[in-house]
Amino acid sequence: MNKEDMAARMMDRMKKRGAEKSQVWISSTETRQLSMENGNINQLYSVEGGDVNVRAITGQKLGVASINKWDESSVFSVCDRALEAADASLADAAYDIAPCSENKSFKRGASSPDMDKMYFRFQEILSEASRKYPDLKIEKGKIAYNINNLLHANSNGVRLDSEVSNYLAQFTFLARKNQKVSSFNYSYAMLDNLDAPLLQNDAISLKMEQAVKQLEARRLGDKFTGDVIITPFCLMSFIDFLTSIFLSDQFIIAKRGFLADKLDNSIAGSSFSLRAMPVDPIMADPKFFTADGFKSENSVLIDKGVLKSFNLSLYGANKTGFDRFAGGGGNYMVDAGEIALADQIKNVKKGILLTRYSGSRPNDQGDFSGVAKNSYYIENGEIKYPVMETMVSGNLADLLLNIQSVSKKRINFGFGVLPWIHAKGVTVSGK
Amino acid sequence: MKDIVAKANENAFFLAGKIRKKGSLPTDPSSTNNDFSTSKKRLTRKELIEFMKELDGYLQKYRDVSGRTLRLSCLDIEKSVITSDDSVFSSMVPRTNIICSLSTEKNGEKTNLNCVLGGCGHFEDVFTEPSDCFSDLDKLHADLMKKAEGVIPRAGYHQLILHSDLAGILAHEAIGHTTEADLVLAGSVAANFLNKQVASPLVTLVDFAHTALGKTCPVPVYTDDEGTCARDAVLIEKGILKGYMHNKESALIMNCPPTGNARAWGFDDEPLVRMRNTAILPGTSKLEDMIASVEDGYYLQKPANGEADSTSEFMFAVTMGYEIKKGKLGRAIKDTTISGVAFDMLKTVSMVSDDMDWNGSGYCGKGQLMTVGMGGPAVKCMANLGGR
Repeated sequence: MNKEDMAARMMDRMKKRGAEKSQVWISSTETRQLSMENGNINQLYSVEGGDVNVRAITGQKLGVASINKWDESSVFSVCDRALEAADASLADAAYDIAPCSENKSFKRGASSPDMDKMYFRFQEILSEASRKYPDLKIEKGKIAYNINNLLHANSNGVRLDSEVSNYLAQFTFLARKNQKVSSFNYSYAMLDNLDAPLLQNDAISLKMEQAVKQLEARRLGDKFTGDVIITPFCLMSFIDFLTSIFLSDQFIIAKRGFLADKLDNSIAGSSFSLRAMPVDPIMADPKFFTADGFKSENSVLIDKGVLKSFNLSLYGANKTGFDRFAGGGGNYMVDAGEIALADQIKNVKKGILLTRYSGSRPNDQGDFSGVAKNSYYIENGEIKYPVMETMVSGNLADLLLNIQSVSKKRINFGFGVLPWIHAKGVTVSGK
Repeated sequence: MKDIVAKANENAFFLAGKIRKKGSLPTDPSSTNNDFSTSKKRLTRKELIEFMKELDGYLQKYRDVSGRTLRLSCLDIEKSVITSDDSVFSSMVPRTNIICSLSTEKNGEKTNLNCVLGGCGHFEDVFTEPSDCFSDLDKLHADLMKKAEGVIPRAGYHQLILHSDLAGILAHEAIGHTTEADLVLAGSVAANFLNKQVASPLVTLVDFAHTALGKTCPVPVYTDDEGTCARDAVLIEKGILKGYMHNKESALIMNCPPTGNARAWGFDDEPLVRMRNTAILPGTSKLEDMIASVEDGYYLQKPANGEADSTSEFMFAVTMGYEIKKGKLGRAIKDTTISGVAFDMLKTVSMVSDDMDWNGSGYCGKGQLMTVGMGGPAVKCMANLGGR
């Protein structure tokens, strides 16, 4: 039974058993992954997986169920479980499915992996990294080819399907020299192909280069309020806080957080613009349609510091009356600025270059505190030394408003494109 | 099945043509069958939702609560494994948790706090009546109200009393990860300290397989996912670093017996060295005496997420705690983060309480998700706090 037929039969079953609306999401994935540990490529494994995810709406009540089997008995049982869940849940008029629009198929990437190239690039980066950074120890690494087939169908007639393949390169490493050890760090990127050596990719190599400098980390021995330059690697965490917490369905529906009443207001420095770009060719991991069953659109969240949209699903939009976010969430891009990183650093009197934030998620007011990992102390426009046992605290709302500049240079991770951000007003404290 | 075996063979031949074969992996085969399923009649989805609705109804009496979320998580981890070195095992370990999150608003500022109830077992074995949960919900509300009045702690290095929940996450994050043998081989600082003093003599830390102090642990593992018999791994004994946690490969490289720490989340995950039930053992002090001994510090009660490092620097978030002034609990504090270098921080442990609690709702995210147990007594130590 192909996916289309399976989905049709499932929706038919749910309709006959009382579902007024239904949605079926069928995915199948295949992965071939080369892995290494402690310097040796030691594993090649293949995985076939995927799942069937069902939503049924009956009497404005929603039930959801999923399973990772494709036989008829299993997929029918998951339909029945979704209906059972709907029957037991509470009614909410905001539950809905996408209306019918032009159905479409999408395809991106090669249909099969180039295994010889995967092995070659793996050996190449291990040997090149060892030559270039003799004190670097790559603890674990993997290069995986993934191909994902998705079908989204619903009882309004929506039929959207995609086949997307890409490569994921991921490495965990530290630097070690005699008895000195740096912090663990990791780098990863999603790629359309393996045409270029991996060490030429900034998303992978920059952190490896920094790791060896981290061997001379020092305690700060001080506490001050100063500036922060957030690297692209760290910016990902803060954007995740913004989009998956403060701009999310859960928070906007409940009017929680510092952004719930800020639509069309200035919430960040005017140099900061944030977009979701799910169908931009620059993304090696595009998302052609949303979980709700709409075709994805490249969309703006923050435009020159002004909040233009919440990150709402169809349910969130129906619940609040605000627009659904057509970007669907993910594949974030921050517009490039006009200043070089070196000049951003020169503009810091006292502060920290924050490479990784390891800490609590912000509270509703946006307060956060955590450890500044793999980071550097900056004084009078110069990077002085890498720091250890140093904490950074602040408030996300203030941090956004105090953005001073955005770098020209950005890093493309394959699922996001991000620059360096200079902001004021964080508390930095050492032991 | 034939297709999968053919693909596995194809992969093996591909690599065999490119890499040299290593020595044979050590074996410690085990055949066990452990099923923690309930013997009671299973509740329907509707009955489970009715239970949760009753808890939600109970919470509505709190007029000063501006938001509430109740979540029921029922997880069954069922495995059947056969290996070529004659291990045949099956296990069914369910876990049931109710997570309650409350928020309140005071002077325009929202405060949030949650609690997690439940542990190992199916719903029918873990929860009986909704009213059994009411006292925990009352305590959550009381703590939330105190936190709403709370202050931001002073950032810096402080004397701390860690509640047993935090001792558990400390054991997991600060020490546990650095003594996983794959990280030791990668260069974790624990490689330098075997058989050396890394903590106060009051500290003994063990990764238990399935039974601790006569009771079944929250995440019992009898045979690991490589088919190795799961044995307790004594990591620190009276302050001395005694050993690491191994899978077959690390045991081969380090010439040690495997400890049965290889665990995989799903069928499509490779087994990695993971913790099972990591705990600091109880001491002899009383919690009230420990608090009374602190002139100016903090009593930290509830942890959230945490992270470890090769340098043994650790951090974890703290969502509930109190100032201690002249040996007495003072104002509650807002959310903060605790950090330190474990092999320095553990040497500052000066008191360990004589009781012990397990947290049976935790997960570890080292590459793959994994259920873990974390436990311990209350601990007095020095560490960094985030704040203003």
